[in-house]
Amino acid sequence: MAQVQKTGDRLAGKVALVTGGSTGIGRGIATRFAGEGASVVICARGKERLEKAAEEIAKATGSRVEAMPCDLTDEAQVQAMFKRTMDRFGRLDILVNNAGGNSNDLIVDMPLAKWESVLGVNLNAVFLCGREAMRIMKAQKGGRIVNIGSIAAKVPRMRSCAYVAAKWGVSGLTRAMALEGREDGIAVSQMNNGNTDTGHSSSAATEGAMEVDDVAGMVLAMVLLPPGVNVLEGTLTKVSMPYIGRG
Amino acid sequence: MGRLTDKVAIITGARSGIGRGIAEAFAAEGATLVLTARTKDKLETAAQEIAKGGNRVKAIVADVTDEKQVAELFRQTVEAFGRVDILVNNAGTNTRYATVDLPLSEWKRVIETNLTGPFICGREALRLMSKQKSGRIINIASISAKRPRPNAAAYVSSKFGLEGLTRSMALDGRPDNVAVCCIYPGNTWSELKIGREEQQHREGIMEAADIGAMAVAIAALPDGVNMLECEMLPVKQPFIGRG
Ligand SMILES: NC(=O)c1ccc[n+]([C@@H]2O[C@H](COP(=O)([O-])OP(=O)(O)OC[C@H]3O[C@@H](n4cnc5c(N)ncnc54)[C@H](OP(=O)(O)O)[C@@H]3O)[C@@H](O)[C@H]2O)c1
Ligand SMILES: NC(=O)c1ccc[n+]([C@@H]2O[C@H](COP(=O)([O-])OP(=O)(O)OC[C@H]3O[C@@H](n4cnc5c(N)ncnc54)[C@H](OP(=O)(O)O)[C@@H]3O)[C@@H](O)[C@H]2O)c1
Repeated sequence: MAQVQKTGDRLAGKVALVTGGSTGIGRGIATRFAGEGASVVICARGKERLEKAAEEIAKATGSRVEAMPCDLTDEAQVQAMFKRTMDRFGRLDILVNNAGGNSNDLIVDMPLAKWESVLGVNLNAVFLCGREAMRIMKAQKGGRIVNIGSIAAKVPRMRSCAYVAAKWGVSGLTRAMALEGREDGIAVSQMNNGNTDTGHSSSAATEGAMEVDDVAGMVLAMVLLPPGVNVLEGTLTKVSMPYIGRG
Repeated sequence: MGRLTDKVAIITGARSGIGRGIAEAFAAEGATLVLTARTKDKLETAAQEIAKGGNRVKAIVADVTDEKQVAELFRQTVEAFGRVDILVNNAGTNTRYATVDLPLSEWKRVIETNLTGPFICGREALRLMSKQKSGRIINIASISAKRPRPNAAAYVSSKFGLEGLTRSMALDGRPDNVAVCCIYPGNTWSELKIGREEQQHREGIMEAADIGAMAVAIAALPDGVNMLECEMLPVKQPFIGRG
């Protein structure tokens, strides 16, 4: 991954929360935001990796980066995290719902527990975090929420039924949140990215993948737009990605 | 150094509105520009103003619906700058009739400008870019490519068609590493100011510079990475819900 550090101060004074910010795309987005002067809260379940990431991003960018361990499938933990964010920073300008995960099962072999856990992080967590953020942003009369979808929200792949269903659900939720946030100036958008090289994807090896910073840079461009302007949906892939045609 | 330094871009319909906004945003990032439209004096004025930023800017008059003029546009661009890295198919037009009253001549004029124009320009660009093994085509559609407004059958059909053309060109350009994408803007300030004030109040409206900012983010992506779709609109514009 390209080493992004301090790039400017176009997000100075802003507070952002990035879920799943301890690694992969979430960490890339948190780094880009911090590089533009935002104060950033990152969360994930694994405490050690999360704290190390916060420390490293803060060091590279000079911005305030706070690690808040949280299991996003747990309502009480999510609410506590938003409360803590407000206690520390007093406001919330940007939420990125990035945390996610897949399983690798055919529908016929899929246990219900796995189905529920994939839906839990990919869809329920977006609702739980989105609801808390919208409560805060309605009172603030503005804010921005970016949901990381996937091209799986548009076209399925094999062995991904719960993930595909969850991401399809995220598309619906993005629209529902955008509709209900509209009157209060809350911009809600969705980034549907294709294969992105986070160092642990099997499809990346065979199909090619973008760099994490390609996605993070585009998400940054989206949140830098003026408050009344929104990229409702963006689809970003490698040119070579098998996605446009039939299969 | 700008994010588009060393890139050669052709922008159609660049003398006003969104095309001009994209031209200015590209210029600020150091791009070399070829601007095109039909109205010579206005096009040249726009090119001169943009060239004040120190960029290489060339104005070439062309009607995007005319195969010969488009071929000449690309020939002159390659003669002047050696290559084409980015084509922005922005030139467009509209007409307002209830479908029952829509004259065939108006239907044809809109389809030719908004759909056949991008095909003719896109074909020239793909021929060049396939040889270069790199390049990017950015089509400016509209959120009308997703859901219609009343009394806009020709426009809506042309923009739905442009989405199909985008996908087809992306598929056909893929083996040669050509990225083809579509921006779908909502309300944006442009040359036609009539009714815009009211629109701004009721639905919100974007600046051409906002589209320019996303076009820069897309154009500056590394070779081989494509923002296939970018739907962007004012937060308050009625579009997401049912109507
Ligand atoms: N990489 C790709 O090719 C690709 C393509 C399309 C879309 N996406 C989407 O992009 C997003 C990020 O993907 P990635 O590849 O960067 O993922 P990743 O490298 O696997 O990182 C996932 C992050 O989410 C956290 N997380 C997972 N479950 C969580 C939970 N229950 N509560 C809190 N945090 C949780 C993880 O930390 P802990 O495990 O410590 O909790 C980690 O920080 C996902 O939404 C994914 O669906 C990725
Ligand atoms: N403004 C909006 O709210 C909005 C929203 C969604 C999408 N769009 C799309 O954005 C694009 C630009 O629209 P705009 O609103 O910025 O319009 P605009 O200000 O009217 O500009 C249209 C441009 O296209 C040129 N043009 C028209 N027909 C042409 C032809 N046959 N050959 C070459 N150039 C031609 C015009 O110059 P000449 O007349 O000199 O040729 C002018 O430079 C269009 O595709 C439009 O559909 C606009």
